[in-house]
Amino acid sequence: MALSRRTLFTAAGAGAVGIGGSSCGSGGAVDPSETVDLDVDPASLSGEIGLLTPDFIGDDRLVLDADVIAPFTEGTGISVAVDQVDWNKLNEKISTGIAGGIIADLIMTGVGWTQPFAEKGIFAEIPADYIESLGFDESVLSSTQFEGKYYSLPQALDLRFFAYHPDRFAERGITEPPTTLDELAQVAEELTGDGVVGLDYLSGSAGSARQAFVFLLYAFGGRMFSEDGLTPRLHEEPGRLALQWMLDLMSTGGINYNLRAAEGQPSPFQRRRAAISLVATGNWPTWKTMTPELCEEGAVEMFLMPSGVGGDPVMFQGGTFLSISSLSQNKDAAGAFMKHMLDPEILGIANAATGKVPPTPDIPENPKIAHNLLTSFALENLPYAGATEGGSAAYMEVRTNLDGIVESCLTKRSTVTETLADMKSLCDDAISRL
Amino acid sequence: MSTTVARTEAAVDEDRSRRRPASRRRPASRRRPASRRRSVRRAEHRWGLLLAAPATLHTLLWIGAPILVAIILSFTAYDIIHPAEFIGLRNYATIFTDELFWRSVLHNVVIAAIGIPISMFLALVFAVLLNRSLPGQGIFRVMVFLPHITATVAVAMIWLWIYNPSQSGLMNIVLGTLGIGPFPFLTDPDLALGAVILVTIWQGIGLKMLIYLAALQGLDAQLYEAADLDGASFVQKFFRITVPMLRPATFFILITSLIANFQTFDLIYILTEGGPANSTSVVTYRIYQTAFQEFRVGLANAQSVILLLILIVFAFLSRRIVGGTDGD
Repeated sequence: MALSRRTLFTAAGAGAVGIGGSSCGSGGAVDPSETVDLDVDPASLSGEIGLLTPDFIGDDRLVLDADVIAPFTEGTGISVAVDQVDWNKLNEKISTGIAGGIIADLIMTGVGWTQPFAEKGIFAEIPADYIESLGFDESVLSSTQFEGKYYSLPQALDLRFFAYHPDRFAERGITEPPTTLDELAQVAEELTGDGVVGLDYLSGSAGSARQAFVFLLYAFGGRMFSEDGLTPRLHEEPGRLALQWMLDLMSTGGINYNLRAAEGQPSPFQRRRAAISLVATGNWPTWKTMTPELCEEGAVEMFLMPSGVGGDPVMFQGGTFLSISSLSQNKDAAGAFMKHMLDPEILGIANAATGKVPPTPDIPENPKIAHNLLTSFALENLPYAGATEGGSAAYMEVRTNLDGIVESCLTKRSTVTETLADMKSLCDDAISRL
Repeated sequence: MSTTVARTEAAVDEDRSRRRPASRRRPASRRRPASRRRSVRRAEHRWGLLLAAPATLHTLLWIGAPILVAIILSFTAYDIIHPAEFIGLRNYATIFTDELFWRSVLHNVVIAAIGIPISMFLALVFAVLLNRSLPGQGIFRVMVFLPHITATVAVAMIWLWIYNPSQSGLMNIVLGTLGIGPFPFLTDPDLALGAVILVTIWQGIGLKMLIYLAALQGLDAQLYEAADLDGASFVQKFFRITVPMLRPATFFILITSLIANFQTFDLIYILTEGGPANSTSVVTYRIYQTAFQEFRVGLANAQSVILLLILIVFAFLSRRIVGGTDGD
C-alpha cells in the first residue's frame, strides 16, 4: 500500500480515537460489589499485594518493613510491595493508578476520604461484624462509613488540640487553661507581646486554613454537611462565628496569619515564639529530634478546644485509614494484611514509630507510646475526637477549593458573608455532580 | 498522477541536458537511461520518507494523538473511574463561569507581561556585556546560565528559604539590614505573585541570554565598522543596529517564553500551591487541580484546549507585534 499524506492522517486519527475510546472505557472493570472475606485462613493465601501509604516516612519505613510487614510475610508467605507517597500527592496517585490499572490492593488515606472513594466504587466493603468485633469507639468509626456500610478502618489517629508553655502562662499570671472560646481569645491576647504571638492557630505545623476553620466550626456546634452528605451546613451560623472568631483574634494580634515555620525548621511554638499552639500528636517525633526539652514532663501542658456554645470540648480528628481496593486481584490477602495491621500489638509498634495515636487504648504496654505525652493526652480524651473533615461523597472536590476560600477571608480579600456564600456555592456545585 | 509527474521530470532533465554545451555533455554510452534516473529518484523519495518517518510518527503519536484525545475528552464528563459520558459543550460553558480559572489565566498574563519584558531586557544587557572580551567572561556566562539548567524543584526550594518570613530568610535578612521588613513574601496575597514573578525572571534570564549571545555573534561586524566610521556612539549602535538585527532572536525568545510561561507548573506547585487565597494559581495548576484533585478529567481537558487556543492567539499576536522574518 502506498504511503500518502492522507493515509497517514487517517491512521493517526483512527489511533487517537482508539486511545480516547479505550481510556474513556477504562472504568468498566470496577467491581465494588465483591466484598472482602476476612475469615479465610491466612495460611491458605499466597501471592503479592501492594500497599499505598503516605505514612512511615524516613526512619519509620524501617519499622514498617521489619516489624509490620516481615512477620506477616513469614507467617503467610504473602509478600507486600510498599508504594510510599506524600500526603499532598496521594489523591492524584490514586487517580492515576486507577487510570493506569495499577492501583494498590491496600490503600491508606485520610479522614474525609472514605465517602468520596466509596461512592466512586474504588473501595471494597469491609464486613461489619469484623469491625464491630474490634470494639473501637464510635467517635473513630464515624468517618469510615458510606450509606451505612463500612469501607475503611482507622489505623492511626492524628489528633489535634492545644499545647502551651506553662512558664509563659505563669509570667502573665494565668493559672488555668481557658474553658470557653471567649476565654481562649482573651488569654491569647494577654499572652501576645515581646515578640511572642499568643496563639499559633494557622501555622502549617498543625494543618491548613481549611482544617483550622473546620475545627472551630465543630467547636461552635456546627458540622460540614447534613447526615446524608447531600446538603452543606458549613455556611450556617456556626460557620460565621468560626470565621469571625479567627478574624477578631487576628485584629488584636492574638493570631498572626503570617506566622510560619520554614521547611524543615522548628515551629514557632517550638522556638517559643508562640505561647499556645494547635498541635498534632504526630508532632511528637519532631519535638523529640529538634527540641527534646519540650518533651520533658511539665515543659508543655495541653488542653482541648473549648466549646463555643457551652458544650463539651472538642478534639480534631485527622488520621490514616485503611481501605481495600475494589480493583484488587488478591482481596482476601489484602484483607488478611489489613487484619494484621489492626492487631493491637502491631498497632502499638506502628503508631509508636509514627507518633500517631492507635485508634483504641487497648494495646499492649508500649514504652514509646507511654512516654509520648501528646499521645497519652489524646488517648485520655478519645471520646471528644468528634471534629472531623468530610461527611459527603462530594468532599474531595470541596476539600481542594475550601482552603482558598477560607484564606480569602483570613486575608480580607472577601467578607465573611461572601466567604460563606462561596462555601455554599462550592458544596452545592460538587454535590450536584454526584 | 505519479506517472505524469515522472514523465514531466524526465522531460525537464532531457531539456536541461540538451541546453548543456556539447563538450560538457556526458557521452551517450555513459549517460543513465531515463528509467534508471526515475528509479534513483524513487529510491531517494523512499529514503526521504523513511528518514522522516520516526519524527513524523513521534509527532503524530505523542503530540497529535494526545491533542486529539484531549479535544474528544473535553466534550465528556469523565472521572477516570466511570466511562466517559458525552455532554456536548457543557464543560466549555462551565469554564466561562469558572472565576478561578480566569483568575489563573490573568495571573499567567500578569507574570508574562511583567516577567518576560524584564527578563528579556536583562538577558540582552547581559548578552551585550558578555559578548565583549572581559576577564572572567566564561564564569559570568555560567553564573547567568546556571539557574536555567538547575531543576525547578531545587530552584523553588532555594527561594522558599530566601523568602522565609522569619529572621532566617535571606531576603528578610538583607532587607532587615536596611531597616525594612520583615515581609511575608509567600503568605501575603498582595506580595506572593510578585515574589513568583521575581523567581521566573531570575530563572529565565540564562536561556534568553544564551540565544541573544548566539545571535550577537552572528551579526555582521562590517555594520559596526561602518557605524564607527560615521561616528555613531555605543548607544546609537545598540538601538540602530543591534536591536533591529536581533529581531528574529527577540521574536523566538518572546514566543518560547510565552509558551513556557503558560506551562509553568512545578514552581507554583512547590513555592505556593496556588495560594494564599489562590493569589498565585496559574492555568496549569488549575488544570492539575481539576483533573487530579477534583477528578473532573473532562473539564480539565476542556481547560487544556482553552489553554492551547490562548497560546495560539498569543503566538499570532506576538508575530504581528514583534514581526520576525519569513524564516522564523
